Amino acid sequence: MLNIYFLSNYSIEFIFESLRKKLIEFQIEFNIIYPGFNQYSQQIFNPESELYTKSPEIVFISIDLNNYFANNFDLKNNPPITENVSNQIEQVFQSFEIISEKLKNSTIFIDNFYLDSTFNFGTLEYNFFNLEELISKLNSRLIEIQQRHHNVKIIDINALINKYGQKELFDYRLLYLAKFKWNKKGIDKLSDLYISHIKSYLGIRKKCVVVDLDNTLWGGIIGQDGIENIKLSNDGIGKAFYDFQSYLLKLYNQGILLAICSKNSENVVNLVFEKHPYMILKPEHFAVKKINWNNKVENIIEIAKELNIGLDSLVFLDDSKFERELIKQQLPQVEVPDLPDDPSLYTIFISELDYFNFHKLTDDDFKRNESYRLNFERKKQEESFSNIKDYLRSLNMKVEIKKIDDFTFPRIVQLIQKTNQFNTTTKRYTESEIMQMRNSDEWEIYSFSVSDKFGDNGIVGVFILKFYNESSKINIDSFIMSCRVIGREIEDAVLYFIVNKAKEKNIKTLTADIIPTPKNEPCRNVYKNYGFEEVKENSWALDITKKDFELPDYFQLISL
Amino acid sequence: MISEKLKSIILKELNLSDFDIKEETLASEVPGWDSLKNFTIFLSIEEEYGIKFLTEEILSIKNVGDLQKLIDLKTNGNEK
Repeated sequence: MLNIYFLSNYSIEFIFESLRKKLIEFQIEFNIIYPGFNQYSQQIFNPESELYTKSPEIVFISIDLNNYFANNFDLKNNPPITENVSNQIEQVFQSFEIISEKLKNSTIFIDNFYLDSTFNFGTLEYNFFNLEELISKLNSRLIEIQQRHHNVKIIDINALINKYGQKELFDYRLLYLAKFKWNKKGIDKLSDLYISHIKSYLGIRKKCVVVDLDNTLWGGIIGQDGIENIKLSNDGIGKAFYDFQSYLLKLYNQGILLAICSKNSENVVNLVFEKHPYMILKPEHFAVKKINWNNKVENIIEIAKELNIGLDSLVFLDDSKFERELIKQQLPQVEVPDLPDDPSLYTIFISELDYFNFHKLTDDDFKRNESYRLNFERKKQEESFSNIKDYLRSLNMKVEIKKIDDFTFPRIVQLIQKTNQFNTTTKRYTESEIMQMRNSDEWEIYSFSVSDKFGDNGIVGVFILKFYNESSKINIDSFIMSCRVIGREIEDAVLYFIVNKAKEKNIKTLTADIIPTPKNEPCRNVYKNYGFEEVKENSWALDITKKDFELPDYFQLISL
Repeated sequence: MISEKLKSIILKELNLSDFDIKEETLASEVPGWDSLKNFTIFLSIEEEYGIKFLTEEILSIKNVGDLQKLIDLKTNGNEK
């Protein structure tokens, strides 16, 4: 259950209904708490307030400075605000500092500030009075707070208002009826913005964009028009495709996988990749290429399978309504947005899709695409070995196990929140829960990374141990591994490490549960294969005193 | 008489399948019709009828009958 706390100086409860509907749509279990708009200071400045006793996972702070500006200008000053308003602003900033210090285990989302156009001084603005500049400065101060407190995130409400405009989003009658001014569209867009941040917080996002080629990555049909006639260039309509490819490249660089699913002849397409000067996407940017005349349903199923990700992690972009409808019908888990008819609108369209929300990019996100590419080289090599052990031996695998620290923390959170397949219990611990475990003596959290002769995969897994020293037992609470490295028997190296950890502490028994989900088939036998016994259904135990354990010879194990 | 159109807008906003809405019905008598819902109902009516209310008008309405009269006045009795 996600506790979402709202603090505001206006009646923000008007957006709750819209927000609730959207949260339900994404199957997020939640509880919204709002103490009322006049409760802002009391909640933050009183150390015994509900805010601090509840210690919610998420706090949204929305302060509309314009409420302070109304009728409070002092035109002898520049910026032309009264001392009183200036004090109120200082108090707001003080409140941000206090809450970020006091709720270290919560994530605090703070709306940035904007100037209501009512208060803009027109031709005097920037020339005589600097009220807009004051707002910019306050927003810079907000960024400083965000940089000092890892639990603070900024919500760019300014970008939303810039995009749609205040007249589109506000209804000033409501201000006097309800101390709230966002109209229906405003409510919808504002709650969308909050939802994007909640999704990012929870790690709900798509992992791969599957694109068609003809009339999607370039204009025209390569098989008919030929390489010199397709539309792809640095001006005119051809630039629309060039810009769209650039956008996809930006997603790639953020760790989103790209794949091709196109009805074409591969040699013709290869020619475009090789020869076309404006083909900004290169073959190596695509983790999988399905360029053939098969049914796209089969191709998409294969893409998901080869990447080891669920169909629900895919977004399919195709200009053909026929293909889109086919996929929507046959593979309803795949997200199939209706690309606009006009290619000039592709880029703005994809930029508005709310599928790829991040609050930070980890080293792993930057490396992800590269590691998928390496996987294919591994696969190629695997096929040349008749015996899997020989193949594993040839890889020179190095497994590094490390206790959680500040540097591995973000990646650990990410793995816990988004890994579906190799995840023994799928316990989605929040950042704050992980922080609490990290500070507790009963729990130990480890990450592991894997490298081999093809390259470094970075951090690919996490396990969480709970110590029951009085009963001489360690419970493997969670065992999580990225699907990228499944099939390399890395779990054996990890379990070997855990066994040794237990021995060091004179602990006799390891226990572990499997909580089956529709997606975690790949890890169901992990304990069974290592020799654990099933004491009751899905509950496993291993007496480590009974036999010797060895590290398979194809691993080098390093514990830091 | 409360028109079917007005009734259906109100019921839809309140997520009610049916409720006997009469001229003398007060917001407080209808389940879920609180101050928050009140505004979304007004905004929906504006959208559906293509009319605009003055803030004073919204404040002066006492019951659904008043609301119907105001809509009739603004649409000249011709519901769109």
